[in-house]
Amino acid sequence: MTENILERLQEVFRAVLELPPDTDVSQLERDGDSRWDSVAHVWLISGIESEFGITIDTAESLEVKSFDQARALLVERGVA
Amino acid sequence: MSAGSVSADALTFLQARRLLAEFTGGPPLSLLLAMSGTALQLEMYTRAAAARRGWSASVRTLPFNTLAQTVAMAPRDGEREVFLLMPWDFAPELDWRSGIPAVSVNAETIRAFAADVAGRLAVRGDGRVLYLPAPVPALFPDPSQLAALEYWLTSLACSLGASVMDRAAFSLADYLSTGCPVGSAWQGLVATQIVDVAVRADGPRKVLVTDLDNVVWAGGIAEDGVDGIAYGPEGVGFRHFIYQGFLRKLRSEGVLLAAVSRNDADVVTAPFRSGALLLKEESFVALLASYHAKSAQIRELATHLNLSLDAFVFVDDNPVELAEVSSALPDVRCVPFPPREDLLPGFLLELQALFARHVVTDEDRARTEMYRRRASGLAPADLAGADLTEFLRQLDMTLTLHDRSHGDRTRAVQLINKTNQFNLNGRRLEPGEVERLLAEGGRLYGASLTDRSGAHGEILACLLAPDGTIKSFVLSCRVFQRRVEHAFFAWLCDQSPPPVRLEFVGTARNEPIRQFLSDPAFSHTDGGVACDTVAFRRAHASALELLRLVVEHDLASEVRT
Repeated sequence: MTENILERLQEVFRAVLELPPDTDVSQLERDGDSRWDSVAHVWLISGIESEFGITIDTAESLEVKSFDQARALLVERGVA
Repeated sequence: MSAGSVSADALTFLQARRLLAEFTGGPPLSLLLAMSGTALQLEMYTRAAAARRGWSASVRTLPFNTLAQTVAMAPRDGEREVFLLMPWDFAPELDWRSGIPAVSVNAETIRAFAADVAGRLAVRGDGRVLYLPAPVPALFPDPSQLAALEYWLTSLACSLGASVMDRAAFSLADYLSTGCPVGSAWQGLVATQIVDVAVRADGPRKVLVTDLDNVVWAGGIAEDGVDGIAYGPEGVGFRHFIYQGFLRKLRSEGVLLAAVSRNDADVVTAPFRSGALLLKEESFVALLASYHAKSAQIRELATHLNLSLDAFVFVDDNPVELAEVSSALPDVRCVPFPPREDLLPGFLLELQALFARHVVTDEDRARTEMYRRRASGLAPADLAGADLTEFLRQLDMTLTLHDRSHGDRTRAVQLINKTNQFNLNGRRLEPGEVERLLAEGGRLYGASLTDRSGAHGEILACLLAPDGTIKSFVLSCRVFQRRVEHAFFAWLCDQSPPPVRLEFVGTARNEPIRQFLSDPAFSHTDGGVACDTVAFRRAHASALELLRLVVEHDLASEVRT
């Protein structure tokens, strides 16, 4: 995955979770993070779909519980 | 288009956020986005799409499933209404979220109810309608009944003046999970359409500006010549033949045609003068050929014709050109020429909708000649276009550099020998010339480009003598405007020995490289062009940030960082 894609994914997370621009979200996990609630999750998945032009099924979206899993999903979908 | 394909009109999530963050304000636009489902992020995208066109929009959305009540109420003063309708807004039985009824339903009952809903919308007056012909559940014993109903509902929406959207914009996954029927990957594009219909002039568009290479014909006229392009009813030219016929028909309906092309003027007129194309020079109010920004040409044309920019539609196959025009002239509707035959019907339908006319008069038919006189004497505008930095960054380009001094160099030599536009001197290589130069210590580089839409192949070649004199330097016209040449040359400036001189010779066709060499880092002398590598590297370091540079293994040792 290119750095540009990774940075865009980080930006989506920061935008949805309203984090400061330089926050490193690479270790972020849904469990224990109060900002990542169910509404934020819908926006996060929607933002990723829009930003990278992919469709994420409901079951797949429920599997995204960390930044790393979102990154892995993009790799799986061939978003280089 | 499929989700994920590049569209000049589509806004991605981050683009929309940035647009809103950087927007400094404009005239207010009060908008009601009336739909029965949840708008989700459509509200945000719609404000961003409006901001891109200079409007400061406030967007009111409706609580879930309250569309019918809204239609029954009076419109609010000063609020523009856009109805985004689904099949189930006409017939609730078709709603996926209602589930499938225990027994099949009666099609005539559905039609009667739908006609009643349409009647109530019709008296609404100023409301503008977008119709998304989403697939509906199989409710009838006979599948043909379902197909007939789908067509009938689309026809009913059209009777309300609706713009019909691509049904791929519907996402059942999103609709079931969030209540929003528009797929997330499509929201940026749908929002653009919402703003389009909200602010559009009451009449249809008037001018279609088309690119020529790989749009009106297959191939590049400067490289392939009249005999090398395809435009007839067979093979790779077939869809271009159909497009020409469509333009000819539009012209007969009063639509003004113009062409803009990155070429020399005499080159682009040659195919029309051959008499083999369906279109003639006289079919166009203007044929604008130059290497300057297409947005500048369109703006100048609009001034000459005394028409506002929202009367214009621009068609091009190159996403970079579409982005440039879309960014500089947001009122111009930009439509990508389809890369595949299968997308042609939807493309033509979209164009027809933009130029829809119920009646064609004799005055319409004579319009081209009148405007041709008005545009006569129009010269290509030498003006800068839009800043494409952000768009180019989003393309996610990778430039792979190859050392063609060893192994197969067929493509690099072929590129040097067939390229006319971005060509240092137009000189063709003699047999054995490259081998002799390489044996003396010269170097031959090639470069391939990929981006998020796919691979463009090997698009650049550069031949250097042992002392750093550049003997040949060419770039395929397919990848103009992407700053590939700047990135490559900036990289070359770091090599040993660096490029000291370029054997430039002006030809009738190589204006693009002349523009490249007008950079202050180059100085023209009697013996060619000298290069200040430090100045070039400093001025164009940003080009190296727009694309990822991959140096093939056998070149890696030469990189000085």
